[in-house]
Amino acid sequence: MDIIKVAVADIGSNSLRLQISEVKDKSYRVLEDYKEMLRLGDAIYTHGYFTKEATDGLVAALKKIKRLAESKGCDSIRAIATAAFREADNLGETLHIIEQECGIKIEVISGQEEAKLAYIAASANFELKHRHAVISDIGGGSAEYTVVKNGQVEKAKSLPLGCNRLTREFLSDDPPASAQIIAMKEHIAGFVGRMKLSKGIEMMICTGGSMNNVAYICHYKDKNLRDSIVKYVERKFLKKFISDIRIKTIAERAKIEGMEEKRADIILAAAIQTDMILEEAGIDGFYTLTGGLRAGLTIDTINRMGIELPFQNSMDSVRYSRLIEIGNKFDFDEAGAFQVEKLSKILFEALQDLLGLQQRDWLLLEAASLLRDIGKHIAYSKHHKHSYYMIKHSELVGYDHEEIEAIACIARYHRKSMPKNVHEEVQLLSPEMLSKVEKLAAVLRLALALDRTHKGLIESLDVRVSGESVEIKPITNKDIALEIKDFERNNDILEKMIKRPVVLV
Amino acid sequence: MKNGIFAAINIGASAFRMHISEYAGGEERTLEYLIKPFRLGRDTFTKGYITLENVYAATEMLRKFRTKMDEYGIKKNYKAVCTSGVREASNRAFFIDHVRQETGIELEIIQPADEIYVKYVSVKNDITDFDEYEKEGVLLANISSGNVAVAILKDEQNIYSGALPYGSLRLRRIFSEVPTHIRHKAYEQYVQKMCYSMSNAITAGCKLKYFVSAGSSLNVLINIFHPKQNMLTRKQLEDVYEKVKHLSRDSIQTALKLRQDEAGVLVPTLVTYIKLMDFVGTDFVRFSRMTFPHMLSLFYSGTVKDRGFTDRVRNTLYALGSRFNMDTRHAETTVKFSMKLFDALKPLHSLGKREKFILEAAALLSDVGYYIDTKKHNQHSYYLVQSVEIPGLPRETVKLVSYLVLMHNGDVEDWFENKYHYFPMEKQLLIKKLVSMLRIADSLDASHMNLITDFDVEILPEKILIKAKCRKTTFLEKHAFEAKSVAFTDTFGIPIELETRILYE
Repeated sequence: MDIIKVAVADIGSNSLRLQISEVKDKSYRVLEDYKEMLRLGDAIYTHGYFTKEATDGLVAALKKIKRLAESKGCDSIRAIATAAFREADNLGETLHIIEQECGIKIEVISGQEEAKLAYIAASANFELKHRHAVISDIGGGSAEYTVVKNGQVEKAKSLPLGCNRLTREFLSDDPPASAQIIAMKEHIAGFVGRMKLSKGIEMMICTGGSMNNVAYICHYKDKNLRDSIVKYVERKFLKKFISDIRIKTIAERAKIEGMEEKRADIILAAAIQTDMILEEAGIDGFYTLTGGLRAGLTIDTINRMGIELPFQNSMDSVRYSRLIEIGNKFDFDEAGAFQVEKLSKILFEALQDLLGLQQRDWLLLEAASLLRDIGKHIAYSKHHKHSYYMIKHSELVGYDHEEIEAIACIARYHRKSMPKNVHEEVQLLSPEMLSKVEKLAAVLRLALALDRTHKGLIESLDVRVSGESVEIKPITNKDIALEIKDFERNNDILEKMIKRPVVLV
Repeated sequence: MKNGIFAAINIGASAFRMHISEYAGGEERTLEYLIKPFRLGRDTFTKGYITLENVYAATEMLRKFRTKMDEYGIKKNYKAVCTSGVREASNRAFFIDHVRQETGIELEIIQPADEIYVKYVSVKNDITDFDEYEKEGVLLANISSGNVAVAILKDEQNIYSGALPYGSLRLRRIFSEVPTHIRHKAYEQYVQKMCYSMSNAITAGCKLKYFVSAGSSLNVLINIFHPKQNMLTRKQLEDVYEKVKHLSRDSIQTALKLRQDEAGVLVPTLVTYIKLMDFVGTDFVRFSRMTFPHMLSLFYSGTVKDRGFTDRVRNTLYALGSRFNMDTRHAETTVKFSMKLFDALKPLHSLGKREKFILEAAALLSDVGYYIDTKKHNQHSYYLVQSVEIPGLPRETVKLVSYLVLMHNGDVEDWFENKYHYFPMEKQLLIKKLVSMLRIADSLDASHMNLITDFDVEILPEKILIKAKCRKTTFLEKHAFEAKSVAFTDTFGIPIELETRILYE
């Protein structure tokens, strides 16, 4: 399939962001993420219109991103603008100047559309099908809230609670006076009350830049976590963070490790608002999602080309869809991956009790059975090691950090040697997880042996577990000499684990 | 090499061989060739180690080689290498140590990439039209007892190379328990899988024209067909295959008047040749009659040369970059700029041709990490470059390139110094010098838009001045230059400055 390049730009009240992606098969890969902190909201929420300086700055930045997009082979940019534009008195004039100067036609989207894009991005990264969740996108000018119940949007609201706007309206002192904070909280409470968040909300997902910065600060010490797309922040951290920074000047806040300098003033308003939502919903923490709006915009633009991503069509699990997306990204053999996944599942279900595995462990084996060979795209030689690296650095969804490590290890040990204490990969696993990895890798090796020819010759397996042995009967009418041979070369690892013969009948 | 007598020893999976040559006035004359069948691979490929009994037997055999070397007065003028039979044995260190203690012969394990490279260079020098084959697409396969070492070349690029575990003795051992009359089917399926692995590794639609073979498996075919020219046809091979595929080893031995060990590996050998002909899409296999020890002797004595090595490696690196979706225009610009800097700053760095090539390779591949993820792309580039295996390109060179791409961007100096603190001062300095120049070259096209078209370098007493000619204002370039020039000053102790002049707007 042809490779299509997509460039989208999101012009918010705080920043201008460009995302360039490459669409191939059923996946897309981000080629470039570019950000400029323009702080357009400063002009709008002070003067009510774009000043000449603000317009000039915007035009220069748009010219720059246009060149950047062209240099990456994109013919056009889909640019959207949000609250700052919606409220500018000189909107028409500004749009005209931009089109004349830069050749970019900007879509000014409504708060509802903004909420929809945040929802698309969230649903690409969270399993929302059976959840009751609120998605917040606190921008500079407005804050969008989407309530999702069982995968359906229950309500979407756009509120004038952007953090730049709130800071300018209420927190004029540095540091802000207590009375100013109280006034702002009362103002927010009025809107939050009218939003009438329904009972039973289980999770909150924040996509805006300021809340992402809070999460980054929270996990600053953990390099793996701080760079991941999805992060979780406990409410108790948020509370402490608010009480720490409310008495600090902007200059003092800017010195906090991980703080984005240009957010040091507005981050307090976003943090307080989020805490109030958590209080209202009665939940103990929130997730953040990096690149929310622009990810939603990229996906929406891809959809407009008539391409649906795996998580949007019949595959109802976001977690599973992401695995397929990653596989596609690295050109995996889809039919072969599904066959090994099928055989692994039969073996897992039959051997689960005997191996002392939990139902959740299937999700680890499932991912490894699908992605074990993606390393071949780097080189055939040592491809199991390349798969390990690529899985670790692909943003898997629905797994925690240790589980991703385990999936990468199962793929790493699907061939050649089994885990050894001297291996660096092994040292990153807890003893319990290492034991799971060994068991699941042993099962995966058998499933792989039973598709040795890569031809999907075996339709199913009939597995009988007894006190003396494990008997596996392949259901097939094809010649599976090679599968049998390979099975016999690979069954010893499992045999040692369960202390009984594992035989084909 | 200097005039004198040189011995080359090859410890193969099915035989030990020694070639003794005399070199005089640049000419080589074979003095003696010894071959001792010994199935070391039988242990390795079935048990995973060499039995103690066979360690002793092998040592005895090598003691006789030592005696022969003594007769010719060969002390240190020899090269003794072990291929897969020893390389893959878990007790290889013990084997090598025992041989050294008992015979004084220092054995070395030859890595698959080096093995195929020695064969490639020798075959290239032996077959007159090989340069033409390389342009049009050739598969060079060294089909031996343990492995099939393959190099695929086209358009003067090395598009694939690897040692695949499909040697004839190994196949024979794997399927020894399959009944004789159907064993050929198992071989066919198994070798088909090897072709599948190769086709996965090369670009779809890549057409080859020639199939060239070398390796011990040829001996049995030469004994059967006695070809006058160095070529066999598909028809010859298929006719014999049809005749012998159902037969037992003893029947083959009688029917074709072969040695027992030759008869044992004939069917898997024929299957491998026929399948590789299918893979290439040819009805002919051309070959070189040179033995591996003879090749070793010519190679290590420097008698054969690799014509066009640098250009081939360069072409191969470009192809690799394309495989990982590099931004070709930016890569070429970074190469051009880094080469220009290298030449202009020669009085400062005093580095030579080899170091210039390392810089060129790093400039080309510095951004390939984007293929895995935009975030930390320099670390992904480091990983991808480390995985590069190009026959003939020393591992140390590849590693140096990987250090450079790691440090072309991002804040990794401290991490690097910590991890590689044990590098000798000279090596650390070399890396720093090259990184400094790479960073400058990279910053001069920071926007990836070729805004800087060319530059001059002036070495002044107090600073280095880069006078750049640009097409447009270079915001990103100036910003990046400022950040990246710090390493230059730290390394050379002189500031470097950028002056830009816009040619036209």
